[in-house]
Amino acid sequence: MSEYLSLVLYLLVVLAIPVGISCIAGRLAPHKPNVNKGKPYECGVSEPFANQTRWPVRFALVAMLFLIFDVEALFFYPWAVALRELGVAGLFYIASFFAVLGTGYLYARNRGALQWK
Amino acid sequence: MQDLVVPMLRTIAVIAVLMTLMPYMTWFERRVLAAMQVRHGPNRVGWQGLLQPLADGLKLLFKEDLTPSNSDRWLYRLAPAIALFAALASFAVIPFGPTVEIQGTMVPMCIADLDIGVLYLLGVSSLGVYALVLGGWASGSKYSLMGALRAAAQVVSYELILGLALIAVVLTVGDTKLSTIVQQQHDGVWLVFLQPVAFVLYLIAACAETNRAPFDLPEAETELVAGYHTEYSGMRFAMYFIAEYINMLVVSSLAATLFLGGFSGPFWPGPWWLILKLMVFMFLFVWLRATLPRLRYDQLMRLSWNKLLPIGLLNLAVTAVIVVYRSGK
Repeated sequence: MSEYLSLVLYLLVVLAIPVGISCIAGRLAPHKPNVNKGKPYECGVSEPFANQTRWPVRFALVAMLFLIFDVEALFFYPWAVALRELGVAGLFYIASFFAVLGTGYLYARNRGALQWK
Repeated sequence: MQDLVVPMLRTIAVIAVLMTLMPYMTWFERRVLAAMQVRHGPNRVGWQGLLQPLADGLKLLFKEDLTPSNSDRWLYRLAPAIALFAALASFAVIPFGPTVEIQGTMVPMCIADLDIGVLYLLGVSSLGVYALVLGGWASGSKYSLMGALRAAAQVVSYELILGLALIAVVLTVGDTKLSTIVQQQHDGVWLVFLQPVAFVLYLIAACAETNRAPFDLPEAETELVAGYHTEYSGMRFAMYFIAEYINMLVVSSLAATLFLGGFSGPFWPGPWWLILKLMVFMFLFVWLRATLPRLRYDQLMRLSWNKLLPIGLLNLAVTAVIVVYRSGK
C-alpha cells in the first residue's frame, strides 16, 4: 500500500512541475502579440491553411492495426508470468491464440494494409 | 507523518537528479557529436562549456511564448504539459538501488516498486503520444499536423515491438516487478546474454519511441521544419525538449534495468551503477545519430510491421518453448 501512496505523491509533484514552469514563464516572458506573429509558420509564403483538412488514410489504418495488435499483445503478459505453472498446456493455449493473431496479421499484410508507397 | 517524509524526500531527490542529468545530457550530446564530426561544440560558457545548458534554459525562459491565432488554445497549452508529465511519471517504477536501512527504517531505492512495473511503464509512457498528436493538431499549421501524424503512426508501430521485447523479458524472468528482474540478473547472468534478440528489438524500438535519429522522421527538419512542435516557442517548446531528453533517460535506464543488471554491480552503491549503465545507452544514442542517415517513411513502417514484428513473435515462441522445457512440467 505504501508503494501506491509513494507513487501518488510522486505523480502530484510531477504534475506540479509543468504547471510551475508555465506560471514562472508566464511572468517572465514578454507578451507582445501582433497579427503577423500569430500566423502559422509557412516558410515565407503566407496563406491561410485549415488543418481540418484531408490527410492520408494510411495513418488511420496503422492506428487501427495497432489497436488490434497491442490489445492482443497485452494478453501475453499474464500468460508470460504464469507459463511456468501452466507447463506444456500453456504452450498449446498460446499456440491457438498465436494462430488467430497470425491469421489477422497475414490477412492485413496480403490486403496491402502494411504497404507504404 | 513519518510515512510521508521518506517518500517525499525520495521524490524530491529523484526529480532533482533527473532535472540535473537532463540538461547535461544535451551538453554531452552536443560535445560528443562535435567530437565525432571533428569540431569543438559548445566550450565557451563556463569550463568546457558546462554552463551552456543553464544559459540555454535561461534564454528560453525569457522568450515570448507565441500562440498561433488559428490554434486550439487549450489543447495547445495542455499538450507540452502532458509530454513532460508522461516522461517524468514513467520513471517512477525504475529501481535505482537495493533497499537500505537509514536510522532503523528500511528505505527502498525506488519511487514505487509495483508488482506490475513493466505494465505501468508501458501505460504511462504511452501517454506521451497524446502530447505529440494534440500538440501537432492544435497548432493549426500544416507542418505540425504532418509531424504529429508521422509521430503517432511511428510511435504506436514501435510500441508494439517494444511490447514484444518486454514480454520476452517477462517470460524469461517470470515476473513483471522490476526489482525482481534486477535481483534475478544479480544472482544469475544479465538478460542481454539470455535474450539478445529482445535486446536488439528493444534498442531499435527505444530509438523510434524517443524520435531519435535514424528514426527522427516526426521532426525531420529538412522537410517538416520541426514537426509537431513547429509553432511552439519559449518555455512550451522547452517542455517538449525536456520531455524528449527525460524520455531518453527513462528508456536508457529501463534498458539497463532489463538487460544489463540494473543497479547491481560491485564496489559502488547502486545509483552510480545505474547512471554508468545509462550513460552507455546515451552514448549509443548519440553515436547512432552521428552515424546513420534518416530512414524513409515507408522503410520505417516496413521495418516495424514486416520485419521486426515477425522476429519478435518468433523470439517469443522460442523463448516460451525453452522456458517450459527447463521448468520440466
